[in-house]
Amino acid sequence: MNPKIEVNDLNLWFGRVHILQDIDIIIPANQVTAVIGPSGSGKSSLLRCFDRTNELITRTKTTGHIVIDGRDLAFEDPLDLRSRVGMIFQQPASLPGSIYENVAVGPRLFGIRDRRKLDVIVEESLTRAALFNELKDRLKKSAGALSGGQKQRMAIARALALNPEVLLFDEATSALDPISTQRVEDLIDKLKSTTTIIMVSHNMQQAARVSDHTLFMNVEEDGAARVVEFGPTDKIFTNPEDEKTERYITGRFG
Amino acid sequence: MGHYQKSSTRSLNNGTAYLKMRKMSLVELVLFLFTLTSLVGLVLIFLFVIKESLPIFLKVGPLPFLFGSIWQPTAGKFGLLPLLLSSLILVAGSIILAGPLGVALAIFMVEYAPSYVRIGLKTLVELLAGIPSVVYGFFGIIVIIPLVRNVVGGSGFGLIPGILVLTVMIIPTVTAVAADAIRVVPKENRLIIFALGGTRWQSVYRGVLPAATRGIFTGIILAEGRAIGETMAVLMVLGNAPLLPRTLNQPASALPSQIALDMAYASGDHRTALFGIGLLLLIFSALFISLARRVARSAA
Ligand SMILES: Nc1ncnc2c1ncn2[C@@H]1O[C@H](COP(=O)(O)OP(=O)(O)OP(=O)(O)O)[C@@H](O)[C@H]1O
Ligand SMILES: [Mg+2]
Repeated sequence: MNPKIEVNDLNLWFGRVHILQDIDIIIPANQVTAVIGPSGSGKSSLLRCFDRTNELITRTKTTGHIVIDGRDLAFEDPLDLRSRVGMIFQQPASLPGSIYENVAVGPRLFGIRDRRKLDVIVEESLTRAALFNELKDRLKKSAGALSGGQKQRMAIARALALNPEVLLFDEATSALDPISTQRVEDLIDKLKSTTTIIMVSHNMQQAARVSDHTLFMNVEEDGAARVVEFGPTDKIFTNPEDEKTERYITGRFG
Repeated sequence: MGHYQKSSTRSLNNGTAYLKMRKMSLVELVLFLFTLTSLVGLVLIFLFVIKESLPIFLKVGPLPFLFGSIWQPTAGKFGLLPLLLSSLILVAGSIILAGPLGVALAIFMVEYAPSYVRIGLKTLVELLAGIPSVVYGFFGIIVIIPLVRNVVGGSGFGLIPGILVLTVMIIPTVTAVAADAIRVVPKENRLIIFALGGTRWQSVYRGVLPAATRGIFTGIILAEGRAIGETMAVLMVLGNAPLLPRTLNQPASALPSQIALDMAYASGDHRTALFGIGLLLLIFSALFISLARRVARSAA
């Protein structure tokens, strides 16, 4: 098991509020890590540490280190980092314009204008997102007309267009129907071979089904979120060490 | 299950069924009468202006009236072209300046400015929108005309200060409508671009502006509607000579200001000709509003 991301003693504040406290984890490469925990336990905030988008919110402070492939994020160009770490949000959303433009937007941000290059990237990304055959006849049509599930897979294609090493899914299926959810889960399983995946989920069955490792986070009395337990998904779901983990995954929590 | 059904019937009662089944309440009746009154008033204004201006169209003919190049009521010459062209130049000039400036200000306000700057700017824009147009006229006379006189020469009165005063006047309209359109763009549009490694400008340019285009154009068209009808401020800086505009630095007269100048003493054909101008202005503003509607409604 190769480590992809090492988090050392990470702390995060929004203003004066301590959000994440003493996070120490190692995310393995080319595997799926699920992040579970009650609402407000800092799951989204943790994901945003990995692409440094917390910094877009005014007055945040971070201490500690996040190291990806031996490189400390703090010393990287955040724009470059974000191009290598893709994020899929909860709400299926599309940009105005065609499906093609929605997928091509990432490469365009980084100055790729050559039509043939973009054609290739769009086709490859949609293919990797298992969407090309479904949409190949309407690439120039408006993306707004797609279903929620299609939009979500298009969002994955959009992230893939930049060839990211890491993909972050923040409750990416919680607004989808069961069949669309299944499709996204299948996709995650496939993308594992080329990327490292971290997914936040409120759905315990999904976390158990899809992930290799599970991270359980919880807010302590002082208001800051900590890691309660982190380990192989099988172990967390069958034989958790912490009693809080057991209560959470069996739905008897708080 | 029982609870679900109960709440769903209740919400139905609060919705459409309520309006259909209940008789009109007193408040609704009053509102309805007010609406009816203003509608009837509007139709009456239109009919009245048509009736009053009909003689000039019959006497001079619609085309010579609209496109005749001499406006000299004392000599019986009623050609609107000088006024029409001046008005179009004023509208075009002020939109070319106020469109980009107003939109840029809206983008800065919503996407860049820290909240205290944003609140200050918003107050300023609202204040500018509420200032009576005479005051803009003073501003034109005191600030802009001496400036024009020094820079391009001549008396200073004319189309250039007209355009500049109108620009300052309509920027608040453009900015207010454009800022609303930008503000309602879902935050996801910005997040998507940021998460791909885009800069703030890229999030605006690729994520926000394409989704706000229609609202922005609606604001520009509404501002044009305001510019073409604007009378007082324009009257104070144009120099009021109904000449065909050959350069921007010459005195001119616009459609609405000519009405305001002449109405007090005009009689006979001159008076009906002024009503003809009024009809033209009514048609222009109806056109601008329906254009704004169409832009606002057209699919993305
Ligand atoms: N922009 C923000 N400014 C200030 N505080 C924030 C901001 N976003 C989140 N928080 C706070 O940070 C804490 C963690 O929030 P976060 O969204 O990371 O939780 P989460 O585990 O993702 O919750 P959920 O399951 O509801 O999505 C919460 O207390 C929240 O109120
Ligand atoms: Mg969250």
